[in-house]
Amino acid sequence: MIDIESLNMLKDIMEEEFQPLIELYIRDSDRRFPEMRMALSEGDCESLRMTVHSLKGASSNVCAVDFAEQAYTVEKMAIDGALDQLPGAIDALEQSYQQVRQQLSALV
Amino acid sequence: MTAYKVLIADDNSVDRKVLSRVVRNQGNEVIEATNGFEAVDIFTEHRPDIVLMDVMMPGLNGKEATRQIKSIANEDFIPVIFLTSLSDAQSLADCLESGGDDFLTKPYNHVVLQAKIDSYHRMSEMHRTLLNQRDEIARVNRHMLQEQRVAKAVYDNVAHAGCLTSPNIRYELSPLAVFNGDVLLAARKPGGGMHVLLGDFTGHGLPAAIGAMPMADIFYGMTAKGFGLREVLREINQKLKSILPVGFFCCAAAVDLAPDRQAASVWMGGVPDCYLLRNDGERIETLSSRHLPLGVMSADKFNDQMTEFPMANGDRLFLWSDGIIEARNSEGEMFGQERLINVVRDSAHASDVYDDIQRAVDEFVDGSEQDDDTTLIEVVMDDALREDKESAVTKAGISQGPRDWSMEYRLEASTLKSFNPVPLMNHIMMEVPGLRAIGGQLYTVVAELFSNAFEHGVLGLHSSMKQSPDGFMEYYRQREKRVAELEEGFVRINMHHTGVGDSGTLTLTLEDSGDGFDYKRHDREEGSGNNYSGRGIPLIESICDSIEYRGKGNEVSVVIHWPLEQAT
Repeated sequence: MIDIESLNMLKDIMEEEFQPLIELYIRDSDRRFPEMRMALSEGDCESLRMTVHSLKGASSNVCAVDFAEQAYTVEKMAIDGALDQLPGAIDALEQSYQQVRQQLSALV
Repeated sequence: MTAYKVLIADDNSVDRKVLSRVVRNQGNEVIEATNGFEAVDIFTEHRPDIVLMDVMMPGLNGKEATRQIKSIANEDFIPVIFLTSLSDAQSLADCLESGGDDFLTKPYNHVVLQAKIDSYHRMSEMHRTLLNQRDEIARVNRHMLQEQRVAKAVYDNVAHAGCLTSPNIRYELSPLAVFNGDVLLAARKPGGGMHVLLGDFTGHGLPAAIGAMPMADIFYGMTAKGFGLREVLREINQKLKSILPVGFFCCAAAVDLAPDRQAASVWMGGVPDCYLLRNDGERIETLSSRHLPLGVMSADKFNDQMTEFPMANGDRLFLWSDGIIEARNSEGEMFGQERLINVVRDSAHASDVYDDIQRAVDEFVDGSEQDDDTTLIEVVMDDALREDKESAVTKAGISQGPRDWSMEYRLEASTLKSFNPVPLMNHIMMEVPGLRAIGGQLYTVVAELFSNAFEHGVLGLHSSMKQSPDGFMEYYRQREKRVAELEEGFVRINMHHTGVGDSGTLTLTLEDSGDGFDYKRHDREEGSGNNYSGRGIPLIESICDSIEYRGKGNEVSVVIHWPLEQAT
């Protein structure tokens, strides 16, 4: 799930800021799923898109490459306004996130 | 490495932290903004060198924040690099269109990131240099225009002592003429008549104006003191020769208008052909340059030969610099001498020519960018010029100037060899307002008396030699030889003046070391034709109230009362 090699490079770059960064990522991302569901219930695809876009960007920064890719497919659904597909896609995305979260937590 | 101040605006805190760390690791100072509004505020407060701006932010998005930052930056170049995960061409193009300078796609390549920051910093530096230089140029230009205005004012004070506004003159001169190298001068002569000078200096701008200053000064100063135009030209030539750099000179046409002789003497050097038009419309006479421009020849080689043209009242002289001939139309074609002469020929009457030329040149040029140096002057012979304006003035303010005075000036052989005291004597006499009015005549008298004392007295030359062409040559050969060999001798000049306000008496006495001559014999043989051994006495007689020779004939005293009883 995580590109370990890249993550080690990030660790080198961030040094003492690495751990706070990962903690920040987890804190931010935990908040995003309730936000996405809220936006979805209000039919606000633009807001949903912004949130999943941020999740995608942050995830690629912490080297969760595949997860970021998955988030991008959800972002495109939000752009297209595919309201019927989005609830399932968000559920699947959250399951993947839990794996990413577990791996990252183990690292710090 | 120089530390740049980098503003990073990104709402995504993880992205912002990572980028901020990377940029800081590269030695830059980072300020963070979490949204567009904050970015604008922080920019205003901290004035960073460069901005890294996320495109998609809630509230004020990256594009709008960029527009505001660019507007605040005004003339300063603040590069804004958009951060985007978008990679399609249109999205990237949109970033630049909204005012961004470049984009950086996520995930970032650290090497490219640093290279871009460095590159944009160089561009900012260049932009700053450019602005500074632009401001410097503007400042220098303002300063230069100011200087030109002052110079123009000074020049006008010198040049406007003249009489270009005389009713017998019409002229056209660009208002900035002092900086295009054209000069137009006119002055009334103390004894009536007028000197006119049209000059065209090589080059433009200050070099031309600088030459015009002493030129105007000499022209007006010497004309007022009664010097002839030849002396004036000679002096101007010498002055310009000594002050102008090689290759700089002044093409000129100079006219001595003499209404008493109904003639004009003209000197032209390096100017295009000018025309003399008769009032009766009979014919057009072409006047051509016969000399090199002023400021080219050294004093000893300068040719002051003038050409005399009879001019009746109403006859007109047209003078111009090459500006008219070289005036170009929109196709870049020149007006040319041929068009000019055709205009003159086709005019119904001489009095129409001036207007016709102006109209023809205006129509020809027709709004195309004019070089602005089409200087043109029309001088009409006018009997009214005979009237001595100067004496009318001096009659009113005659009490000024020295009244009762005398002086003696003795010149020894070594001085006589190379020094002509006549201009100095004249200069002293011209301090008396009443004498200024007859400056021309006085100059003639002093010059003649001094020449007699020196050549016939000190050098012992006999003017009878000059009666044949061969003798004439011989006379000057002898003169040169004797001047070279001169070791002893003197000329003593005594000037004595008394005045009562509106009139006065000048007594000039010259004594020389020569053998004198038998003036008593001349008295006995008056009317014999041999006038005082050719000493030019009749000329002096016509001006002076009395002439008295003394001793063995080596001393002469003349008395002049002013105002003269009648103009001579």
